[in-house]
Amino acid sequence: MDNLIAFFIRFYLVILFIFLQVICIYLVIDYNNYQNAKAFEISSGVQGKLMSKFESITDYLSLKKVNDSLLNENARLHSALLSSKMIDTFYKGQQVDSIIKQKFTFIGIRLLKNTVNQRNNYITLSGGKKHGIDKDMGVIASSGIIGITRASSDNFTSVISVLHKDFKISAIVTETGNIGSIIWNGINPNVLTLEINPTQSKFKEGTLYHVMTSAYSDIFPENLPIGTFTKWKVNADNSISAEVHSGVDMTNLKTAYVINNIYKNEQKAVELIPKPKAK
Amino acid sequence: MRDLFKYIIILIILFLCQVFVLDKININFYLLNIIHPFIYFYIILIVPNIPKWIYLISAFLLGIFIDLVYSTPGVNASAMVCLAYIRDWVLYRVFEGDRNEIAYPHIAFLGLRKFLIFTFYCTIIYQTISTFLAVFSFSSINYTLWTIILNTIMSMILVLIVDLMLFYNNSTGRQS
Repeated sequence: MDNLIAFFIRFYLVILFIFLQVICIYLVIDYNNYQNAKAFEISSGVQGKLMSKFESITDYLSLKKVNDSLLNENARLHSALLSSKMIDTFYKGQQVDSIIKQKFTFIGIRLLKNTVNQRNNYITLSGGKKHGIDKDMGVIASSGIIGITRASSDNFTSVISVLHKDFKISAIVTETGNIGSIIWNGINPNVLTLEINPTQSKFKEGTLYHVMTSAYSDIFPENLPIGTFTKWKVNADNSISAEVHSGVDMTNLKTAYVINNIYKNEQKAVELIPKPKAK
Repeated sequence: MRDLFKYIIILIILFLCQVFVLDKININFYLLNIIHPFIYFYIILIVPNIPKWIYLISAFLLGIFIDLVYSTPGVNASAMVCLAYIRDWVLYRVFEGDRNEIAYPHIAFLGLRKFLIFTFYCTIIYQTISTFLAVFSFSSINYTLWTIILNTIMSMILVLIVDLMLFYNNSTGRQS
């Protein structure tokens, strides 16, 4: 027993060090669970208060840029109004008022904080549960997608940026119809990577291909622009990695739109019904 | 007690500088756009001799606080604890003299050459751990290494500037 106590007294620093490191590594590995999301709801509240003070000072400096982006945004919305509707052609004999129902609603919001210079970047928005924002909603800027919401408090929301190692959404190349997924390789904030599933279709040299969101996502509406690419490389298993130049300047964002899919819960509920067991 | 207040005020100033100035800077270097200079870990370098366990735990708490701000749980805390654990050892190696003489690891006390070596070791340890924990993969390792090297250089320059500003009296060369 004396030996044990002597051991602890002698090596207590090493033990303390290892103990603290184990806590840290646990946090690093396990950072996506529910408790963490709760902890970061609090932290996004603290950050939000700090940042909103700072933003109220620096807002005036970029009014011209904001106006320009709003103008572009309006033009895009006017031309693409129908793409955010769900066409309901399922007619069952009773009187239906309209065949078009709202599927996605957009919530305009200001950015409080945005980083691009880390491996895993987050954005803080100046709106939360009070404004109808919850987790797992898409966030877009005027010219492309910028993230998915992660947690929200009453007045603030934390967003996983496109520039994050866990960000991954389904995308489609409009010219060829190939489906792939968009990820970020951590090097340049204006270049995303499109990984197209193994395919036989050939891409032509010197053509500008456009990448849009696909219909497979329940977070983003179909046909939102993501970016363009001219360069790609074919991997050993016939899959293709393309360098997509993002349409959004991630270093210079002021406003964003949060997308709320009204039918998401219904769709999720149907998808989660367990399969019947084989008899 | 006066010292404690001094270090807390230094910490707050460093932290505000980090969040409101350094995080807003985007430096383009070739393809690398993820250069992110750090300064807040400077407080860990300059804390004088206090009981080692208080030092380790406070480094851990500071790291957790920074992680809450950056939404990177565990990354900075781990690097901070490692840095706190290893700092005295690095300092004794660099100083090469009687350990009991070391009171303040500042540039005015250590001299420019020894101070640079000391900050270089500490910074590169900090950057390596925090970068690898944040990236958490060995793919595109050369970019990760470039990030570490460039971040280390940027952070060292900042540490040097802050140390000269805070603890170097130009006319006499004494500690202020």
